[in-house]
Amino acid sequence: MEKMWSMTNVSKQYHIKAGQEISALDDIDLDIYKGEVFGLIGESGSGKTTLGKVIIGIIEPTEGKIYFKGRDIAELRGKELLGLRRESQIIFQNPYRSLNPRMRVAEMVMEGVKRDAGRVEQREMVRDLLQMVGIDIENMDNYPHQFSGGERQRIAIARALSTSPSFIVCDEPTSNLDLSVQAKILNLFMELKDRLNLTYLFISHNIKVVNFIVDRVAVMYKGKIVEYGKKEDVMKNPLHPYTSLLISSSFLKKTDIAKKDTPDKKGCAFYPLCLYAEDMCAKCVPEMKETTKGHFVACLKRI
Amino acid sequence: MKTVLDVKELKLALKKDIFGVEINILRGVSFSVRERESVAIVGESGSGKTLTAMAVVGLVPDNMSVTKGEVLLCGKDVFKMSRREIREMRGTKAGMIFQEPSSYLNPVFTAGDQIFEAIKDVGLCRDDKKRQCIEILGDVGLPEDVYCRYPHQLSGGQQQRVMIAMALINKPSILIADEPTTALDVTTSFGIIELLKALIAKYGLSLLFITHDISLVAGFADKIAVMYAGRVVEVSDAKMAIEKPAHPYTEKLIACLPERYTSGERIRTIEGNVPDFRNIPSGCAFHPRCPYVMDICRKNEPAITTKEGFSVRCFRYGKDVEYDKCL
Amino acid sequence: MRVFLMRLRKKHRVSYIALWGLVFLYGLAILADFIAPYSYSYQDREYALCGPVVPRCIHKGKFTAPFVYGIDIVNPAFKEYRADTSKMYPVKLFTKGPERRIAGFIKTDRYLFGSTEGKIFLFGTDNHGRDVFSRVLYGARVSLSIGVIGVAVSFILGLLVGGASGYFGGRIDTCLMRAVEIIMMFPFFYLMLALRAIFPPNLSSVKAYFLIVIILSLIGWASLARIIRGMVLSIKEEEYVMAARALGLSSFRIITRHILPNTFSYTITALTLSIPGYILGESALSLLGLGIQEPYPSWGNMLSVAVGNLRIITGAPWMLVPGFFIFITVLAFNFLGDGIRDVTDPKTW
Repeated sequence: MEKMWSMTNVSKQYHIKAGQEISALDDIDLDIYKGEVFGLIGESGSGKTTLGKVIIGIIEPTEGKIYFKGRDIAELRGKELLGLRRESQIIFQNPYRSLNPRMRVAEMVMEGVKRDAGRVEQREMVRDLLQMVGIDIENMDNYPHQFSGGERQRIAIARALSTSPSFIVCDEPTSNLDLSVQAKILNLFMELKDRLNLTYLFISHNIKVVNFIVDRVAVMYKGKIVEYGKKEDVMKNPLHPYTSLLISSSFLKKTDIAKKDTPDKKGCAFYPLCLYAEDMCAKCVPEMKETTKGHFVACLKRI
Repeated sequence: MKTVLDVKELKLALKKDIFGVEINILRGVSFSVRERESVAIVGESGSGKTLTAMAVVGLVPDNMSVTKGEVLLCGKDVFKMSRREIREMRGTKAGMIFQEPSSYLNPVFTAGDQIFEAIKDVGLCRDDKKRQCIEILGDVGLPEDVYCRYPHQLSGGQQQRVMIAMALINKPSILIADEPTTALDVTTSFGIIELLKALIAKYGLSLLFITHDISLVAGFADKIAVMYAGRVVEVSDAKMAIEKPAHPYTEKLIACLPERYTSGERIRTIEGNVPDFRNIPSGCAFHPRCPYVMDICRKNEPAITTKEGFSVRCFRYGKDVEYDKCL
Repeated sequence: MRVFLMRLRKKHRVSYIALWGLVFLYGLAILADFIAPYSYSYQDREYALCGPVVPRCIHKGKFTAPFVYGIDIVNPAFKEYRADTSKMYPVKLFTKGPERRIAGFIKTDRYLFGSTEGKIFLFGTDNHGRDVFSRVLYGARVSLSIGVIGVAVSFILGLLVGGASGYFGGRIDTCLMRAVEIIMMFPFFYLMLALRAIFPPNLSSVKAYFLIVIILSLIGWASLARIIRGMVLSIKEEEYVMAARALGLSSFRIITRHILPNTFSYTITALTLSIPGYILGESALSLLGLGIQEPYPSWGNMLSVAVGNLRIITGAPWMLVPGFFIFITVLAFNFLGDGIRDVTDPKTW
């Protein structure tokens, strides 16, 4: 399979005050292949949203390189940079905030459509896009607040599709939606993927949703990827203790966690909560190693 | 077993506008909560679940009024209480916690101060009150030093536990929780649910848990009440509601859960959209989206049919029609 | 446009009325040549500081065609006058008078109303014997336009500078904000005087007019720029702006299409609230003799004669009429601003 994205040693630090830095992403290595749905699971503070924004370049990493179809995106300029922008799009979590409240829906979706076409053609394309996502085109000149949450998310999807992208980052796209609406949006994602040959980076904290839609999945904890691999491997046979904790919490099965102190900040980030931890874990950061084919984990105990 | 909360056919409407038109928001809510029972109200947005939770403690918005029905909290009708009685009732009979704990905690007071302020027993002296606060902090699983912390210094889960402490400090009979875990992480929300289960056992508490996530409450509630378009359409035993849902809406809602499908399948969604409260369909409000729709469903509204272990508003189970028509 | 007016009428009755009130006032200003019975410089020295002489319809208890009484000069030294009921001069519509051009275009010798032999001083006369009503109408031209033009220039400058500063940050932001702060550092009034003083005191009125507009705008844009910058900083982080960046839109388009329109709720209100400031700024300059010079009227310089002069305020209170006009203009702009802000917010539709 063709490799679409490749991140190596990517870190992102935020400078809060003098001397105080928050590490949103810490030494991330990730590959995404064309045509797959790659899932990213994590809780708040894991860095998953930051990763979504860093990969397509709307946030710059502090360190590391990101390659799109073999090219370093930091070196792209002008037309090529514009090309990257058009090929990779993003859909946000909150449908109430991701649309400009002062723009009509048709205008918003039209912004991404090719500029060389005439206005009539552009409007025609907008109509097609809105129909594809299931929005009644009679309402295309309305404002966002006149639509429901589910409809707004569809509009955001139409906007993302307006540049004919090949890759879309979906940042918690259904977390703010009702169950029945979520079901429709998930179906829509699958349909669009088949129809338009899309590749997705699907970010969520909801394991059940991720389990349904992804092919491969990575688990993030405090800025690091702790485990990744094929969905079946990671979900049915979780290796990292954090992954097991996430899965059992989601299904409301009790799991014990430890409560240890960390004197230093070195070592494995999960050490304070880990039941299997040993002294070694508090001293060195575990490396990512492959166990079975395609299944990687960063844990000293599980190798 | 005593019934702590009994809601009987509650109907709430927007006050009449200048044209004399009355728009109904809650069109018939009936359910009950017994001692030590945890009942979950499950509904999507627009179903009226939050409004129901507010009505239980008498917090009906100014632009709405109760048109019918009653809410009996520990035997007393909430809407017939005097203002003093209502104030006394809140906190001592019923405690409430909400969705975003950070919005409901005052940022300029410490957690301890806020719990302290919530104590209604005037007979206690300062030290006793403080002792009670520390005790309840322990009950909700927080260390003593949280007493001196400000809300912004606490995590989301800790903030929610502080809210629970505030709600329970006066030992109410029932705790009403309006989507308390929706804004929290998976592991944190699991912790809160475990805590609620422990508190129910320890304090003999009843719980009314409002949520839109039916799979969440199936695991720990005793009863589930499903709401659609301002009415309770089904009240069942929790396990039964998931395995053998009575009302078609419940059935279709459960079918929307992604965990019931394997990769590559399409989720079987519910056709159509949730109706706006201004445009409720005639007859049974769910009929345009119901796979089992019959002629009678389009014309008449079903009354409540009670069978073994569940009660439901659906003509498939009984032909009783509700004659008390709302607009 | 029509939709906008309809919405305004429905939601904000007061603001709708204010809008038409302003349209009326601007109409008066444009058609001053036609409506005012006298030119702004026409003097009737005999009747200086005369009270209002209005057309009447009732004479000795009977209805008659509109007319004015003659003016009897009781005491020229103390400027006391009385209506002379023995003399009645008819008041007609579309009377003839000296030829002039309406608004610089249409030549005519007709006036809306007037009296060929009698004197109509609707708002009385000033200390030079000039009709206050006519001068108010001509003065409206200056006062009403200075506010609008000055504000327009300020705002365009403020929006662009604030927008660029907030969006780009870094050195651009630092430089622009320092410039803004330097301008704001000077006390407004003294800065205005200083800028005016650079130019010769006896400029032709047209030049003086534009000079005042430019001075006022150059001072006014600074505080707006700062506020807009603050708003831009927060709007910049909104998700729809990020989505716009992801679409690959140019910075200019993002600033003008996505960010600045979301500042309008503040901008429009600030805009309409600043207009009175400019009107008053012009009055202040005129007060000191640095603004519009005599004999050209502006509401400001008409007031300057009355201000501080107790004798005039008590003896000839009609000289304060320009102040009343400033008041209702300011009020109207305030109400209008409220209405526009509410009606242009898509969320309230």
